[in-house]
Amino acid sequence: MDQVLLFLTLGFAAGAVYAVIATSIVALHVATGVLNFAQGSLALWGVWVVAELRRSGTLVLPVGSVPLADGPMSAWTAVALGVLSTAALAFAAHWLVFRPLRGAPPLSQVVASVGLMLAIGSLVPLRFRTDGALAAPLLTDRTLGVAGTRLNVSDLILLAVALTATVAFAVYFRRTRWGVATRACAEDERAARLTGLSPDRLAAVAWLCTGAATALVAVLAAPTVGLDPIGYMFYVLPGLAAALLARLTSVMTAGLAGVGIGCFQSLLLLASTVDGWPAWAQAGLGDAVPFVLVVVALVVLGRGIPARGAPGADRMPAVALPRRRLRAGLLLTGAAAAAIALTSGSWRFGVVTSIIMALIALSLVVLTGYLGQISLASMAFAGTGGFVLSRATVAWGLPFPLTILVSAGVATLVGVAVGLPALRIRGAQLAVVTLAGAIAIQQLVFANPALTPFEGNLIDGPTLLGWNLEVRRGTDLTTTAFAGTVVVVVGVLAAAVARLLAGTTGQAFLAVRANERAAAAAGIDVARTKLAGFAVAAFLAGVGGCLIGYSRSQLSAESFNVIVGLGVLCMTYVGGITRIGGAVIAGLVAPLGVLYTLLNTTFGLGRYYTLIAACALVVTAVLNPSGIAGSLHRRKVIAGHLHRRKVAA
Amino acid sequence: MLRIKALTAAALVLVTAACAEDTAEPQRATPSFSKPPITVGFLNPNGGPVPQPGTDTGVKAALKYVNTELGGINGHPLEVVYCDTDTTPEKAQSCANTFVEKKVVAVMDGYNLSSSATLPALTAAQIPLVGMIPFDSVTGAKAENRVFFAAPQASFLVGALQAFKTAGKTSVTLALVDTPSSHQTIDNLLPVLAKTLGITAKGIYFSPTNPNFTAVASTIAQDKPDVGGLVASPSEAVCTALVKALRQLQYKGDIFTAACTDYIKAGPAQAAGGALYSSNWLPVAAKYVPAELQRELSLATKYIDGVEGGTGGYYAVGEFALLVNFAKAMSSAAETDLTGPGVLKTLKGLKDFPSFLGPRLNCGSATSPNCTTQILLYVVQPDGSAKPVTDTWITPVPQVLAAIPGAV
Repeated sequence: MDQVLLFLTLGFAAGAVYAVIATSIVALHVATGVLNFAQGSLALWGVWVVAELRRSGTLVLPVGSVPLADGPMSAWTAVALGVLSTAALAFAAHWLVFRPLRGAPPLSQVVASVGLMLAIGSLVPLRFRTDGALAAPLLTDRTLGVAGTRLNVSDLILLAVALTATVAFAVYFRRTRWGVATRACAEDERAARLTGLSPDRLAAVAWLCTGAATALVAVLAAPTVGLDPIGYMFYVLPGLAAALLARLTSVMTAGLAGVGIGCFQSLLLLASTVDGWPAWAQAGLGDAVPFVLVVVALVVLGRGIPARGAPGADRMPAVALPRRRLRAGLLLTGAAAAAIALTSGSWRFGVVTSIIMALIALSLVVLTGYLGQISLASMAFAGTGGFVLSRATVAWGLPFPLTILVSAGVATLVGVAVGLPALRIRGAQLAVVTLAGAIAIQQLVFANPALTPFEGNLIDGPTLLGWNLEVRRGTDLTTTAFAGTVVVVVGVLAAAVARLLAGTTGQAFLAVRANERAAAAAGIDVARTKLAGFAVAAFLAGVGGCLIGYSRSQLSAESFNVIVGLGVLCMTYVGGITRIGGAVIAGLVAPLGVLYTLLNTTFGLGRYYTLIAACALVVTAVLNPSGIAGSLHRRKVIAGHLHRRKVAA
Repeated sequence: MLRIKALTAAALVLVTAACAEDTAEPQRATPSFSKPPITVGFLNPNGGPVPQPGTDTGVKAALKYVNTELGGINGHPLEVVYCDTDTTPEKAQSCANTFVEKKVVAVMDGYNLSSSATLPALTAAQIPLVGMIPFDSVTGAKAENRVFFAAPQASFLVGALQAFKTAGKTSVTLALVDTPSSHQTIDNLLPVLAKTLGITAKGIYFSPTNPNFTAVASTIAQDKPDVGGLVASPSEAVCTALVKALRQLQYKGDIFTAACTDYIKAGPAQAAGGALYSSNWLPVAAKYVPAELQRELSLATKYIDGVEGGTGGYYAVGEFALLVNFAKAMSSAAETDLTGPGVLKTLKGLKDFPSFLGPRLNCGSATSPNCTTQILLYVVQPDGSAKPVTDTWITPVPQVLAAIPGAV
């Protein structure tokens, strides 16, 4: 029992950080409607600013730095400056990124916040000296004897600070004029504006306060939970789980759920040492279980997340049905073939990777762009395809292309299973459910050593009727035969998807996206249509995962993690999630694709790829809230109108 | 519109400022050589959640030593193409592509956790992967196209557990950073080894991104094992934090810290009694190093300390030894073929080769990429030095290692 109590309290430090992140996510959602994936990254920034001030007395800014002392700065001055610095960064995020996106589709705000998360996360290792750094102690190292065990006083202080911050936010929203006004804006932003309230100013206050609170708790917790170059960025996942358990409305529930998750993970650590604890559950449960609880809360209990009463809250980018498919198809295929013929080495590898990633992005065009189901599990579907391919080629000895069909078939089944909750829930809740599915697949399947051979997930190269289609031969990094195979597979699937989307299926998808009840009234089987969408998307992603597997000859769980999936969704959205052209743009920007090759090979800036891609993501999301392909199409339409008017005149 | 312009400008400034700080230039040899350079790649794990900054220092130091004091490799200067990795397979794969295009003759592994992602491209191009310890268990599982001058991961576990057993210790709890590769070690290796050696051994994971060392230490200490600590050390900082947490909990057993040594300097008296292992002699054991190796240790220390802004420690010494072993092996070879296959043939042909600060190597195993299974185990003394527990290298029992693919 004393051990249980000890481990319960050992979870307070991480739980406090989860709690303040969850509370901040809820507060920001109430104040601005933004689901802020970057809250963990703000904590990361604050922790490193303080560490650097305490090491060298230099205040590091995103650009440049200010030497404030000749040597290490005193602890509490550094903490104060770190908290202020993070609050300023949060305010800048509001002013430069989220305020311009106020009326934009919610997904564009998600894209911007993910971009910000990745930008800060990739900036920290570049701006700070992170080698072997340790967070020096801030709180007392005294212990307290309770029920036969020694508890750390610092853990109790952290819990108290996090709960105080939570209560302060709760009181702010319930008891203060500004807080009530913020909630009023959440209920009906337009009406609030008419009464003279300024949602922007209230949002700025929320950004400042949540930034400061998050930094303070994270800085105090750093000596206990560690100082890591990217760690706090991932704290947003349990924070998000806690925020969603609170239905993005109750800061108190979010805070308590955050502490609960921290304690739960700590108790799991204790449980993992118990004799007979299964090997498959050695790790990963602590990450996966909170999200499974969220799914239970959202699906089984049927309690939805209330929509925010803001103008344009449910808008999705406009759709243009694929026209002149043959011409566009020939053009794209010709361009791909020319790119392959004109390149070699890593450039051709980049081109082929872009084509494969475009197929995975295409799965999102179908599922999110046309059907309106926001899915964060695309890379999990792709990973399923890739991991089954490893078994299909090495263990079962199946021939190509049966390997792809079987592997993508399994991915399709997983897609339908992950999509089942979509029959009851939609929007942001569905995004979270698919995120939960992706984390569960990642932690319990891909990263599970019980399911991975000691020699790794090797993949034998494809052959067809004695013709070697392997990706490599000698120093040729990408053979023409493999590149041609990829073009044929992706081309055929893209043509099929274009036909599907231009026909009655595509119209049924759009009807469901626009209004499910109206679609049902028009005779469309909504449940079947949704599951069909998930099945098609998972199949496409599964084939993409197989092609990734063939191109690398072996796979690792790291290639298909949730953050990669988030990145692909964002790139597709920025490219234009309602257009096939958007998928092509996403493919060009994807990891190891053409943009990466350009930065790495031509400019030698491969190290900065994530930072550059993340900044481009944020800027593009702000400049083109409907995506690049959508903006290009709109400009083309406007130019056409102007030209016709000119001719008529 | 003003805000949008400001945002674009901010993003541009941010990216430009960050990129402007790039210092990762390929390190070239001094231009006094008449023969063309021998170019090798270096998988530099300096990013991601488990960076190994010391490896970079070790390579820079060794490059200077090889091209100045050693006179290169048979008159050829040694050049290194650096490629940064961050534990993701994508980065490793990208590096492999770069190395193939740069036509390197071998690739030096800097204790990468995802080095296996480079193997398909390197193997197809017949470029051998050369390292000390294969930290990626997939890489260590086969002998094809790779050579590792130090013992496999399993050797360290087996050797240490053997030594603990000999010293009368019957229970061990060790922690390891949670990565896909580490699962192979704890979930698959540890139970087999514990059963074979007849001791109680438990393994626990800690997150690479939020390691709560108080919790890890409490987990280790709860069953009061005879030995508790780390299987492998991601960094000196991790060791320091865990040792401190174990001391705070008044853990009475032996603290085992893999290959860390920094925590000893911070408090020699508190560190006394702790145990650590390594694949080669370390500066912290200088007073116990055999006379014939004292010069090598002084050389390594001198050149590593001479790297401006460098990071010392086990990884720096290990990587220094790797490049020096490579240079000496290639210099002493009758083989004059300086292509990838030639290099592989030379390295696989090493027999009874005296390695730099390490044991004698035999690299021709058909089933293992490793040239030895021998390790050193030390106990920290009250004066802060690390004394080997045995007079000679510890050789794990081959029958036990045979259970691990690629270990022997």
